[in-house]
Amino acid sequence: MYNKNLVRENGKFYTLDLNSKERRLWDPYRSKLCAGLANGLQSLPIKEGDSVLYLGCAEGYTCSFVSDLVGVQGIVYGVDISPYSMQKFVLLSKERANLVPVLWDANKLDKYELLEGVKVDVIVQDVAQKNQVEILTKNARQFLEKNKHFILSLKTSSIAQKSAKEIIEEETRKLEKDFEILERKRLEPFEKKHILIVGSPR
Amino acid sequence: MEKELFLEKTVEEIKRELSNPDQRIIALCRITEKLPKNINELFEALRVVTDTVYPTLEKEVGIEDYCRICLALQETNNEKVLQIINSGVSVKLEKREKEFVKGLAESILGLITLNKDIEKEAYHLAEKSYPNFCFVAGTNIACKMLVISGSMSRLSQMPSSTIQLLGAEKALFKSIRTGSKKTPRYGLLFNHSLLINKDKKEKGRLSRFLAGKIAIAIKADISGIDMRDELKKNIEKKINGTLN
Repeated sequence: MYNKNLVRENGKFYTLDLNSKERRLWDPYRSKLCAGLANGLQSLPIKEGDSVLYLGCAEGYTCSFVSDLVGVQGIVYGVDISPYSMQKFVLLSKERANLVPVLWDANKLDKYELLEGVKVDVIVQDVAQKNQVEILTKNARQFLEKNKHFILSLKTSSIAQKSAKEIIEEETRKLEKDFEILERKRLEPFEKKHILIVGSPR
Repeated sequence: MEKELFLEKTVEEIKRELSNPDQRIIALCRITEKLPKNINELFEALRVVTDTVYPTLEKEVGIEDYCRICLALQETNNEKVLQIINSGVSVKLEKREKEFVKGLAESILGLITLNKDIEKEAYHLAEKSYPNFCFVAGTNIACKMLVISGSMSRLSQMPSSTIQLLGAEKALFKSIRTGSKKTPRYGLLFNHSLLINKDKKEKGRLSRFLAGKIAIAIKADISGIDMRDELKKNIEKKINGTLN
């Protein structure tokens, strides 16, 4: 899958020219969002000019493509807890003007001063934790309004050692209390036991 | 403008997190855990060539002496080595082969000294930053506990029963899964200098006691208090009590 490249000649990723527009290869084996799109995800809520809160950005591979999607007008807050991967993300954010690094624990409720009062259009939740849904609801309460969207990539093997189907059923039931689910997409063959859920708050 | 604020804050926090001695100690300890394996592998590679020259020598001397003998090749005064060489079974190496052997032996010796230096540095760092913890648990065990738990703040939140079983996770979860009453009594603490040469029953008791003291020492280190004298008194009292 190829994505329009915002920054010319990045050098880090494989770049390719298509019809004189610079494009970049998006690897579905490395990015869960891309795996969802490759499997035919219909309702991708990220549009040009959106502001996105990306929880669990790590080194910023997927984030860099999200920053391409939202364009110059948009903004992407990349949140991660590890200072090691944040180092690399800071370097990336210096190349890309619309990336904002935030070293913060998305799981805890303690407030991040600079993020107060910020409302975003889309939350992408990519933190593989046992209480993934809980993290999403916490953050949605703070950052999301009605008619906005979230993308949750659920890693079932990090929740319990049951079959993936059972866990997905359980977690969607939990989600439906606060959210309306628009679409679900399994990520086979790119990621095992993962599911991508798109929805919006009630 | 807004982004600048975020950047500043995250860079500051990254620096603060990474200047923490925990991560450096853990990185150094990881190296010292891995290096011996590589040294052994290199030693095996060396012995493929030198086994024909010094058969059965590796049973009599350690790795370091073996490498030194290989460095000197046939010009040693060691009686055992001369005996082996003059026994008639040993093969003489060609000139080029001698160079390979010398190079390998040199690099193995270098790795061994490097490993010792790294270990010393890790212990020095740990003793400097966490004096109470290293005093009670012993520096070696303290470093290993840090590696398993990941950071000092995480260790400080552990109850003493968890600290007692650090390093015995496999046995613990096995006993929980099977529901047997044979739970492990000690993990890393098994190698503690106070537990050596004690009865099995006493070992369990002492490790429980030590885990409690370690938990206290960790919390003292976090809050920056020096409690070594007090802890020493406590431990001595307990040991005398159990012996009598």
